[in-house]
Amino acid sequence: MLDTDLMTYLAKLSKLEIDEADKERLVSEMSAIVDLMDTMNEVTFDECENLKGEGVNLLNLREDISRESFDREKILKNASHKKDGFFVVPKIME
Amino acid sequence: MANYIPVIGLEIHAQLLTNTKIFCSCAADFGGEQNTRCCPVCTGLPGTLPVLNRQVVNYAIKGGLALGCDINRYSKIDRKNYFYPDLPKAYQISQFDLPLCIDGKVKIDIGEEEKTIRIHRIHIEEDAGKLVHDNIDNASLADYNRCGVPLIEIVSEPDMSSAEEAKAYVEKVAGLLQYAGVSLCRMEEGSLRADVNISLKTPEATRLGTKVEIKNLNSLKSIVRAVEYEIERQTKMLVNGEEIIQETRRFNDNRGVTTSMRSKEDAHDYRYFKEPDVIPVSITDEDIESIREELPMLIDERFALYVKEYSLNRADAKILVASKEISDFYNEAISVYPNYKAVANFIVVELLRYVNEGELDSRNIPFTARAFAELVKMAEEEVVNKNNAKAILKIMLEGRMSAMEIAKAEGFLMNDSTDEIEEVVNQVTSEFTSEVEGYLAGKEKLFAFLMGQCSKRLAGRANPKKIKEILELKLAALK
Amino acid sequence: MELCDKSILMLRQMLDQKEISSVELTTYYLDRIKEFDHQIESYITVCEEEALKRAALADQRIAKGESKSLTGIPISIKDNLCLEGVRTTCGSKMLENFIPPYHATAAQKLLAEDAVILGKVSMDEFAMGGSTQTSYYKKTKNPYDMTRVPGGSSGGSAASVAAKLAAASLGSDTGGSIRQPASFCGVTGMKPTYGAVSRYGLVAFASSFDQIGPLAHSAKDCASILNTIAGHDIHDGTSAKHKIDFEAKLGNPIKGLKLALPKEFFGDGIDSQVKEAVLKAAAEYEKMGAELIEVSMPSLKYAIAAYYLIASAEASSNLARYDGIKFGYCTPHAKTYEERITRTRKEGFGEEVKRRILLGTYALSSGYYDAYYKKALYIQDKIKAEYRSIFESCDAMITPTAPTPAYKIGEIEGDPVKMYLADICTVTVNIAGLPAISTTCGYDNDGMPIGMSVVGKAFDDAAVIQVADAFETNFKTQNPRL
Ligand SMILES: [Mg+2]
Ligand SMILES: [Zn+2]
Repeated sequence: MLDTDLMTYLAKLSKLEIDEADKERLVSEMSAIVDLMDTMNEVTFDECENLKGEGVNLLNLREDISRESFDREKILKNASHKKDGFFVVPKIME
Repeated sequence: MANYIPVIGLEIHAQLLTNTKIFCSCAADFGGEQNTRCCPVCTGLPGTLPVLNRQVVNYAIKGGLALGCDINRYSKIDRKNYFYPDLPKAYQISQFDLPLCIDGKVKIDIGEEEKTIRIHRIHIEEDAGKLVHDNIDNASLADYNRCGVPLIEIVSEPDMSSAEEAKAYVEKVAGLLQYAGVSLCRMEEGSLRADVNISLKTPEATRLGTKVEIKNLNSLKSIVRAVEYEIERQTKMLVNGEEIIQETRRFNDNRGVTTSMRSKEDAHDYRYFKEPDVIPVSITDEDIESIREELPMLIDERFALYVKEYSLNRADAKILVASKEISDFYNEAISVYPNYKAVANFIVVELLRYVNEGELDSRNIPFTARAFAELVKMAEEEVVNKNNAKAILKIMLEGRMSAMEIAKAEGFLMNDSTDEIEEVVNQVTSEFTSEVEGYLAGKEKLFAFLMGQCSKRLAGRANPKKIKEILELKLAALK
Repeated sequence: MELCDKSILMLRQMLDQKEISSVELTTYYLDRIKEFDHQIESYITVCEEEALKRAALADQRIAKGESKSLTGIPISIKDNLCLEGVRTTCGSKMLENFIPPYHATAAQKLLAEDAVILGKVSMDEFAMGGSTQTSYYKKTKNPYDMTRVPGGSSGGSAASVAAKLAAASLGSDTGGSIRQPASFCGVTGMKPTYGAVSRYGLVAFASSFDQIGPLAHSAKDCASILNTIAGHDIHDGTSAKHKIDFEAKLGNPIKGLKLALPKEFFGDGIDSQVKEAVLKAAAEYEKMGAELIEVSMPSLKYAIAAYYLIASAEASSNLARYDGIKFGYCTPHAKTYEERITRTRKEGFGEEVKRRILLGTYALSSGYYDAYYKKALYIQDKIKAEYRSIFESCDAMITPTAPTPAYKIGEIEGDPVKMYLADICTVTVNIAGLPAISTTCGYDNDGMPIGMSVVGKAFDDAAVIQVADAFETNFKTQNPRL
């Protein structure tokens, strides 16, 4: 069952801040969606082919030939905070 | 005090020696100014896609074969989801349930004993970037050069029971990967890093104790220190009746202690799932065989060959096989001059002295094995004497001259004609008349003195046996 | 016939015979955009200067007699396709200021022929929606009725083509996002076989379903565009090595073809006028000599669940990179890393995007993976198998494109479950990776277009184009009145 605790956990996992005031509403919206997903419950599992099958042959993989990297300016252009050629984030404690 | 047995498993991350990153064409080498080895793919720009580097798969399989693994014929790539500012896509492309290699084994030597450490699996994955801390702005600075550098993660079974075994295992794995030519395994450059899992159990316990993981150890020394510290810490706790909690710890190199990073409760929920942008790879028996053929003879086989076929002693053989460059050098030298013991001895005692003292890089010996073999042969056949052979080696390390050229230039060549020896013997016996008389009177010790004088004047150019012969003849004549 | 009613093929002739220059044609379209787009609201960004520059280049190329099929043709592209130096928003506040440093491969291929890119058109935020009303920018209107939605998520593409504000458009289709708006706006839209067109530079929604495709006035025009943009790409590991000639079967007889009609697609949830129009079109094929075969797809009832679980799971991961650090919106209200990221995502994403991120996170999280994600993959297998068995005996399949014609703005967008269910006719094609085209097969009592879909075997894209084209040849379309 989807409840506010689970919603809080999912929000934490997906790094979405959710206001307390919105939680109940979200739980009810999401519950309706999950009910729709639960139509699958009547299906019983056999083997799942999707996780096996044919893969790509080694020859079709990319060759190990290096190409020029991008200008640093281009790489950093869209960053909101940068300094001395680095991306800047608030200090990480861990 | 209760007796506990440590149960230790390792996860080794080794950087593969490819030209390019695992999913883009940026150069994968170590170093570079921050964010200069980046492109839209490895910085995770919207719309970009990973394209798997064939060499990464080849090298992972090769490394796996060197570590005695089986290769999965169908191997899937997965995403491991977590947020951290060194991971631009907020997921790491890795492998979950179908890694490339499984079920390997590696032999280690512990004293005279041999022990086998099982390998659970080896998978490929991308490395993350680096964060540096900026105290001025109280911020962290992200450099993505390392993002997408190809790694193999080698997960052992918990088969080790001491810091010594853990060290021997890491050394052996590093050696084998170097032999396979798939990784430099330089811990100081971060191309080999290890996480250690460790728990304690009593000898009679059937189940493993609660394990603690120590993350990101980047030198052999810190692996040993961290394991020893953790054994001590956990032993004390158990003796005091405290409960070990499952957690991730980090090792503080300065203080020599491990500290808690996070407990099981805030362990990540990685939400692994099949990476939809990278198609799984199918590996055929032919692929595996052709990769296996590229492998050189590995450490254990070379060791056996040296001991059994070349009759080297185990200690020397072990030293020679410890590095592939040295072992290859040895093999090439004996192919020219098959005096197994002499060549081995000259390498172990003389050449490696320079390596151990840091004066010579074994990957960068400035002369060929053939040139080296010539030197050993000259010494053995007494074309130069042993001391001069050492002096020649030293000069060979500096310049581009061959052993023979140096011997000639330095006047080290033994003199084949007896003229010079006779002349010197005559000189010495006429100069040191009282010593000669003393000898003739029965003070046999004085022979060594006279011999020394002759040798000194001949400066190693003459065969000592010959000098002795001529000196004896001369003294006999004087009797 | 007005200039804007002409097909790409006709424009090609006019350009090559110098009856008109590309600069004139481009100016004509730019003028129409100025005149009509304030009503339609299809363009997020108009690239006037760049378009005219490109048109001049095209004219030079035409003068040298080196024109390719799209040289000088004015085209709009969906705003989730990266164009170097041009803001690419994905319809989201999150990418308000994102200027990609590279071209999407499909866009690059257009530019290589000197096609003229008029601008970037609106879409549901991150391609999540069926109405284009979740766009943070332009909430596009249906040119046939401004009070109705144009469909989505490629609503800007469909509306820009229907309102003749571009000769054609590139869209993307993850669960029907090209075909459904094409159906709502009375144009032809095609999702090629998965892997036919490189996804490089398409901002990802659900990687295993996303495909780029054209929206145009006809199946022939779609084929022409696909021949330009398709092909193997070293930047996309899932792009197929298969070479497809999309025009290969144009004009081939319909006689003798076996066309499947899956009964579940004509059930209770489908509007009766839609059913009628599609069945009438099917009867036309019968007249042309095709054989209609009733088939069944029992797993259709689980398709919506499977689709939304897989798509949302992938989306939750694909959209994790939007953290305010490397690109895109960054909250001004944050001191710590944790605040920076959670607030950026709270403020930058719209409601529907957040719902899907949460759903996808749920489907993958420990303890729920087997019940949701894994089960959805299992159903994907079953759907693939059902398609395989249908195509063992049939050449193509005919279905409605959407259960209803375009609905009123505000009618169902607030109700996610209703929105999701509206995708029932299109998602199985993405789940199975097959080619499908939607073309107009009739109009309802309100004059709104009704779309019919032709679905084919993987890499038999030429067949779906052939079948759709055969119908279009004898069908008279009605223009919207602007
Ligand atoms: Mg790992
Ligand atoms: Zn790169």
